[in-house]
Formats: sequence, structure tokens, C-alpha cells
Amino acid sequence: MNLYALLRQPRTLVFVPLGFILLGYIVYPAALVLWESLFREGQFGFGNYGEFFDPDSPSYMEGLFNSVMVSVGSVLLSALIGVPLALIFTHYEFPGRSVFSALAILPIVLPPLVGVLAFLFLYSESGMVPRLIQAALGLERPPFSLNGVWAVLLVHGYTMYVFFYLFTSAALRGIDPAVMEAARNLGASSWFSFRTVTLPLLTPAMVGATLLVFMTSMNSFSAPFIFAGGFRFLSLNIYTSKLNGDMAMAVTQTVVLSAFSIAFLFWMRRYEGRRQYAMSTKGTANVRREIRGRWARLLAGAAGIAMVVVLLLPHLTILLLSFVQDGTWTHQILPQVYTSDNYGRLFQDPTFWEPIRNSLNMAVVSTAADVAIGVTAAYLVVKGTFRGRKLLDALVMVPWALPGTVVAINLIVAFSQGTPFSFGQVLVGSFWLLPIAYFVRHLPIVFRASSAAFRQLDDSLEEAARNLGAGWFYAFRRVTLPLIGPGVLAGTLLAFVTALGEFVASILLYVYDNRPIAMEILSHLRQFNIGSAAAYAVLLLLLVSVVLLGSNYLSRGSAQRSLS
Amino acid sequence: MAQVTLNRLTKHFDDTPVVKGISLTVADGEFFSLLGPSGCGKTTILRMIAGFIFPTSGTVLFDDQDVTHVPANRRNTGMVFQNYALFPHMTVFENVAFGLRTRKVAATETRDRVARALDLVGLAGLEQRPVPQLSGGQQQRVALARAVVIEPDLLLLDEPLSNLDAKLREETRDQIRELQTKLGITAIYVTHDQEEALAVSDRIAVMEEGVCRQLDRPDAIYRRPANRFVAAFMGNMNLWEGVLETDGGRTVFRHASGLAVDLSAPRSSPAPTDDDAPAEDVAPSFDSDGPVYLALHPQAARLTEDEAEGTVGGVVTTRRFKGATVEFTVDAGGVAIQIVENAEGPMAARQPGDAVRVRIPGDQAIILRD
Repeated sequence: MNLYALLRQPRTLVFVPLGFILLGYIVYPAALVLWESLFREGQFGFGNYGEFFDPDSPSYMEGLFNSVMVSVGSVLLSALIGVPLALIFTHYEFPGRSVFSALAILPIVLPPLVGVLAFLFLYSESGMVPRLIQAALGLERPPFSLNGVWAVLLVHGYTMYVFFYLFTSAALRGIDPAVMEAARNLGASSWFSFRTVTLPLLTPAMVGATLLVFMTSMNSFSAPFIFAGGFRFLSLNIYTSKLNGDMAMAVTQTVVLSAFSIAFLFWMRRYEGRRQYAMSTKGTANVRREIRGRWARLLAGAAGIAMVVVLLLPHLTILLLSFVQDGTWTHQILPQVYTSDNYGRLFQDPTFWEPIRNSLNMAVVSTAADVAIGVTAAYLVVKGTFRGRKLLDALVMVPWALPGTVVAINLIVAFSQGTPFSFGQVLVGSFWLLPIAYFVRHLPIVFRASSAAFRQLDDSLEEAARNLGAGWFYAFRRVTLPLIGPGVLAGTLLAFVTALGEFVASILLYVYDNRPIAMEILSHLRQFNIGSAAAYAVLLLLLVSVVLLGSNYLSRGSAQRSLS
Repeated sequence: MAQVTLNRLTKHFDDTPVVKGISLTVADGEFFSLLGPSGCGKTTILRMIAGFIFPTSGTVLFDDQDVTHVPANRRNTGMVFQNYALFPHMTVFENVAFGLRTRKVAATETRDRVARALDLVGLAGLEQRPVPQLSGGQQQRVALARAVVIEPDLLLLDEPLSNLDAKLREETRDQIRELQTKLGITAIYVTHDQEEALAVSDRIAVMEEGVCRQLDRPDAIYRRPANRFVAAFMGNMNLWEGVLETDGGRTVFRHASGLAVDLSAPRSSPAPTDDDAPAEDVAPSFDSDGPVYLALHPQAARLTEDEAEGTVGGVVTTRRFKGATVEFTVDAGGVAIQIVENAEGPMAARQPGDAVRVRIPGDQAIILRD
């Protein structure tokens, strides 16, 4: 077959661009980082790893150790909050239950940096909560303050319990209530049936949530960045090494972090795969147990309201601070001078818009690319019959295991010189590197959502449409698209909002021309323009909330499914 | 083993009454069926007996013990669920042994009893099989073994056959009855399939909208439905509305179309009376005015050619060949009459459009007030 005929094959038309992009922006950068980590001052060898694992200067190992410990802690804390919440909301009925259960996913609309900032202003040494308590009780010192590793853990617990909550709720909804009744009927007490039936059936969901929280926590950057102080974290170390110009150690730590993440991913995946149960049809409807008794109901209501306050406090804090005039809040417990100037500048200062426009532009471009590549790859992996489907699946999912710092370092290393994949251009320092990072980081979100949608799509539906006389395109438009649409859309919007608030890769890759909202927030913060920083944060929150609400409305809950 | 008594049992879901005052007694060792269309409250009753839900009012007694509010796990009942509700993360052995584990039965005894139970349902040797790998019929039998291995006082079956295909359903139905007889357990069986209920039950309660419309032995219910609902539900009975007229000592049922059935002929071979059958079901009472309903089994009506007294003329509108029998619908001046003929009979070859006569034996007609 000559080249021309090869190019005319429809398969080639799909595979060549797909391969080009995956190879160029995922495989090649990662491989190059691995290669570069093997050079120390021009010398090939394991010198860099020697330094990393050197017992005499344990600072690198310490970072790894702390990252792992904090991740384990985050998993435990998130599970401790998320699982009981899911159990309570699924099994009991009390006033306000549906409102509380909807509000429980609130932390998910907080972009990483924004959430951390809210915690900083709320609970840190100069934070409002400890100092309000101090003033109220007339204490000499604030009763507590949040910093270091505990602050990081708490922020993680707050933001990541949602994974456990969502996964466990979904799994509980999926369990046939008749199975629990069967256990009761056979004489099992509540606790015995929970231990022997419910818990084992929740295992896959728990494994999924553990995996997600552990990886998110390993990769977490903003919480350590703000709170860590002298504490070392692997993801943060990579950033400081790069800032100090020590690229050799930056890439070495990148390789260690990636190896760790990928190993963990595969280990959990294997466990997950062994423990999937297809549930038969539902035997009986799920009945929530009504909480009776005045005191019990009052207690449930009070606990619910307390939960809502704690959950909403970060959002409200950011909103409050966005009205604070820059430079007026210093030693007072609460800010004293309020103004709407921070928003007023929206309409007066054209440069105010720039970061927002940048973020929107880059989110649109990167998400469009995610959809093009992610949906195509999902279709090929789920419905295709060619060899190498597994490889394609793995390739697209690799960025999922890669921390944002790693993706950024990979791209810096790969595109600090011209390559065929960038058509000979040096991308470092250009507008394009950051959208590429967003594209790579969020490709798995769209891919997972789309493959889930394709997997649920019965092939015979399309065949039925064809049999009834529909052409390929008509069948696609009227049958396939409406069925996969909600799932794909949910994934797309999730990728979009994640890109809007992205911080980790941004801090390593941004240039002035494409500075995103998160970087603008950070730079205002560094100048103590708390009001301006918060105003940006509120706008970001609004954008994210609107998109997520719309997504939820359009797809009726498949956004949650696409997470799992 | 236990006798079960329901005392004016009611259940409301959010103020909607689902069970409206049911009182009945299931005898020790009896196979008792709750039969009715979906939404009639039969499953709700079963779930109250199992203890998954508690009645709004009324009591449930096992023998003389009031168990109305006893938690489900302390009732010692064995239940087979509609979808079997097997624990998907356990093997066959673990599933069957579950109830013994909660009863803290020793390991060796557990092994023996599980093996015996599996042997009883014909699944010996499948102990280590994961449940999802079993066929539907096998899963059904694991569910049965799991329910009987604990030697329950009461076996509860919630439409256990509805997920099986037709052939397997009959086989399993007979197996369940055989097992229940062998073990002598009281069984309460919920189904919407009247044929199933007729085949296995000692007694049947026919339910409609939370009320028991008839409680009797299968043959009595089939032959002498107490009301239109039961007559319609128990099979393709002819059911006509009309009035009763007395004419020179004879009682005649008259349909609006003019079709008349003489009811005064001596009643041939009434169904064997049993002690608990209400007397009024044996012979219809003819004393009141107003509309009445005539119910007639399609097997009782006969196609014929002679224009003798007690026959009406009509035209065959449909003919369905069923193998041993042929089902006809005959239009007799505006009344559709369902008739089942023996396929070997002389009239079985009649085709749609043929003019025929139908003999309606008055002595086999049932007059219903309600």
C-alpha cells in the first residue's frame, strides 16, 4: 500500500493525529524527564537518585515521607467525615435532610487556592475564628491556630471528604435494600449486617475514593504552599527546586513522585478490579428510617445546621473579604472598612478583566481539545476492536496519576527547545504551554466520563436505528448523541471548571500574557490586597458554581457518576 | 413451626391505606397464599409478618406470642425474596451459612447443615461457587436453601418464581411445595399468578386494594368465586351483568341483550363442601332486586348444533387453538361468550364466521351480587 492510500484510510485519519498528540504531549515529555533525571552535571548515572535517597541529607526523603503520611492522614480524615455523612443521609429521614445532603458537596465548588485562602483567613494564627473566640472568652492568646501539617490535613479533609461522600452515597443507592433485609431476616443485628454485608459491598466505592483522595493529596500543592512553613512536601519541593534553578533535582523528584503515584494507581486498580459486584435488580424500594422523638429530631437538625455553617464558612469568608478595602485590615479581628470598589473596578479598570479573560480563553481551548481527543479515544477504547486498545486506555489515563507539578515540569523540560511536536517552536515562555498543561491534566476527566457513557450505550440501539432506515449520521444525531451527550457534557464541564481555577501547573508555567485568575489572586495576596484577591476568588467561585449547576441540571446527576 | 394470626392488620404509607384491616389465621404447617394484582397489599402484609415494616394498627401473632413489634432479626422466619437478595460478595456456602453465623452455630455443624440444605435443593457440591456465576434457577435454589437451613418457624416467599422462565417456574414451584411438605414448615406465599397459587396452596387469600376478597381452598375459589373481582382474577370467566326474574316458580337471569339463563334446574354435583366454606357460596340466593352478575367458566359453556331449550344462537368471532383445547369467542346478539371446547370434540373445527348455538348450563352458573 502506498502512502497516499494509507492516508486515505479513515482509520489512519483518526489514529495519526491522536497518536501525534498523545505521543507529543504525554509520552515524550515524561520520557524526556526520566532521561534527564539520569544526568548529573552531564554525567550519565544515578547520581540524582543517590542524592534523593542519601541518608545523610534526608531533606528530599523527608518530603516524600511527609507527602505520604499527609496523604494517608487525608484519606482517613476524609473517610471519617464522608462515609458517616453518606450513611446518615441515605438511611435516615429528618427535617432538612435533602437540603443538607445537597449542601454536603459544597466544598467541591471551591477551587484549590480559594479554599486554602479561606482557611487561612478563618483559622490561622491571625484568623477570625480563633481570635473571635479569644475576644469572647477574654483569653490572652488565641485558643488554637491552624498551621503546618495539621492545617494541610484539615484543608484536605474539608475539600476531599466529598469524594468519600459522593462515592459512598452512590454505592449505597446501588445496593439492593432486599439484601440488607435478607440479612435481618436471617437473624443479623444491625451492626452484624453492616459489618458483613454493607461494608463489603461498599468496598469498591471506598477503594475508588481512597485512590482519588490519596492521589489528590499526594499532588496537593496549594495547601502546603500556603500552610507548610518549614515542613517539606514532595510536590512543593519540586517547585522550590525549579525556582532555585536546580532542574536536575526537580526532574528527579518529579520521577519519584510520578513513580509513586502510578504505582499506587495500579495497585489500587488491581484491588478494585477483583471486587466488583454486579447487583441484580432491586427487590424493594429503599426506605429511609424516620428519626422520631423530639430530642432526636432537634439534635439531628442542630447537627445539620452546624454542618452547614462549617461548610459554608469558607465561602462566606471569601465573600465578606471581597468587600474589604485593600490595605485596611491589619491587626483587627474583623475587617473594619468595607467598600464595593473591588467589584467597581470590574467596570472601570480594563486590566481587571484580563486574568478572567485569560482563564476563560485557556479553559475553552484546552477543554475543546480534551473533548476532541478524549471522546475519540473513549470511543476507540470502548467500541473499537483493534489491538492496542489497552495501551491507548493507559496512555490517556496516565495524566490522571501525574500531579500537576509533574505535568508542568514535564512540559517545561520537553518544550524548552523546539520539537517536532511543537512544530519547531520553543513553547516555554509562550502563551501556549499553560493551555497545553490544562489539556493534558484534564484529558482523563473527559475520557472517563465519555467511556462510561459509551459503555452504557447498547450497540443494538444504533443497529435498531439503522434497521429502521436511519443513515449513519442520522442515527448518530438522533440516537447515539442524545444518549452519550449528558455524560460527555458532564465530563466536559467538569474539565472546564477545573481549568478555570487551576493553580498548580499555572504557578510553574504562567507568563504575564496568560496569567490566570489563580495567579492574579496570589499576586494580590502577596501585596496584601486582600479585598481584590477575594473579589477575584468570588468571581471564580461564581463561574464555577454556575457551570456546575448548569451541568447538574443538564445531565441530572451524571456529573457525579463521571467522577467515579 | 408456628401458626400465624393477623388481627385487623392495617398499614398506611403517608396516609395512603395499603392494607385495610386484614384478619386471618394460617394454620401450623399450612401452605398459605396471598394472591392479587400488584398494589393489592400482599407484599406489604408479608413484610409486616417478616418485621421489615410495622403495622399502623393491628397485631401479628406467631402461635400465642405477639410479635407485632419484634425486630426482623429476632423472628426466626426464613424469607425468599423476589430477586433472591443473595449476598453478591459471598460464595454459595457463605450465603447459606449466613443465618447460622448469626445464630452462632459451631463450624462443624454449620458445614453439615449447609451441605444438607444444598443437597435438599439439588445444589450439592456448588459450595465454593461465587453467587454471580450461578444461573437464575440455581440462585433461586440457593435463596431457598438459605431460608430453610436456619429451620425457621415460618417460610416467607415473595413472588419467588417471577424471575424464572416458564418451564423452570413450574418445576421450581413443585420443588418448593415438596420441600415445604417434607419439612412441615408453615409457608406464606405471595404471588400474582393465580395458576401458581392454585397449584401449590392449601388455602388462598385473594386480595384487592388492601382487602381480602375471598379466603378459601383453591378448588372452592376456582369453582365458586365470591364476587366479580375474584371471578375475573381467577381466570377467563364469562361475566355478564343482568337482572333476576321469577317466572312461574323458575328463576331466570336476563341480560340486557335478551340472553336468558334458567337457574332453576337442579344443581349438578356441587363442589365438595368443607367446613369453613361459607354456606352462601354453595347456592346463590335469589331474593333481592337490582343488578346481579352471572359468572360462568368457559369450560361449562358448550358449542352445539341443536336448537334445544337453554341454547342461544351466535356467530364465532375468534378461534384459538391451544393443543388439547380450542378457545372460541361467540357473539350472541351483543354478548361475547367465551367457550373452551375439547380439541377432539365435534364442534372444535368451527371457524370464525360460522353460525353456531351455545348451551349455557344454568346449573353451573354462579350468581354474584358484588
